[in-house]
Amino acid sequence: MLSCQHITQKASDYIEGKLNFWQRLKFRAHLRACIHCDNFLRQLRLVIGYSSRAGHQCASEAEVQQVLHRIRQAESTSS
Amino acid sequence: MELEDPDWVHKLCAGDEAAFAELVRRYHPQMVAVARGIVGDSIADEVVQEAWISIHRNLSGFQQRSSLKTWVYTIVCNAAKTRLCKEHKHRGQRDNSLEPAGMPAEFFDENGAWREPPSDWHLDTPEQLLEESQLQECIDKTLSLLPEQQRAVFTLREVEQLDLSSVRNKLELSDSNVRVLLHRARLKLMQVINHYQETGTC
Ligand SMILES: [Zn+2]
Repeated sequence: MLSCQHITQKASDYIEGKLNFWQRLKFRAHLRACIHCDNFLRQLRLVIGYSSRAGHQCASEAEVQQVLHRIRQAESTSS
Repeated sequence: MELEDPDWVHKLCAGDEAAFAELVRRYHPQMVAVARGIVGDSIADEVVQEAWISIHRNLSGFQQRSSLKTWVYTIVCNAAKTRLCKEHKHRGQRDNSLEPAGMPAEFFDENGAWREPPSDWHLDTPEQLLEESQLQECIDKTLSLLPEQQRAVFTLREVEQLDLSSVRNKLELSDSNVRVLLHRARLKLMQVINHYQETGTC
């Protein structure tokens, strides 16, 4: 039986579908038997769902203007 | 936020400046994060600026065979890799350790069973978490402190949802490297969220 520590190490590989058939089977058997790891995996999925949105940043207006300004500069010197 | 609406892409490619500004607003910080993972912090801004110039120049020829997102990241990653070659530079600090990333060892007993099992979270949907503005600040801070490559992998996979093989190619990392870096970033954020659930602070 896989250890709980092993489950926490391989949890992303499991979620990403990177475990082979047997590894997957053993992983699932552990999750069925261990409420803590089951909880851990649920929390990891929540982290993924949340941080995909919370991790996105928008540029400030000043940054946008700077990028546009440099593009105009580059285009006026090359033409 | 998805900017893949065909009408909008059409406007963008036809040279609409407001649409272009929107593109910059949407992608710029993520592009900087990805470029840093390839060339390091000091020249990432310059590389991204070069990429923007090239994107602006080539937009009219953008073939909608690939998604705009993939196209944009291909350009910035190629600009970064070209720059790296030109300067004969080695990458910034690389995190090549393939040590399995897991929770800290002190969470487990000598058999690898939980000594300190995960605590229950009272905020348990992404929507509930997104309402917490202080947590958002904690996440911003944590992301800004992630090692460059971890941040780049996180940005391409988690935020932009590119598939793992595309992340690997764009960053020129091995498959196992990408997986370890991604998992490390996730666990770091998990610990931040856990701490926030327990204490209400970063
Ligand atoms: Zn377990």
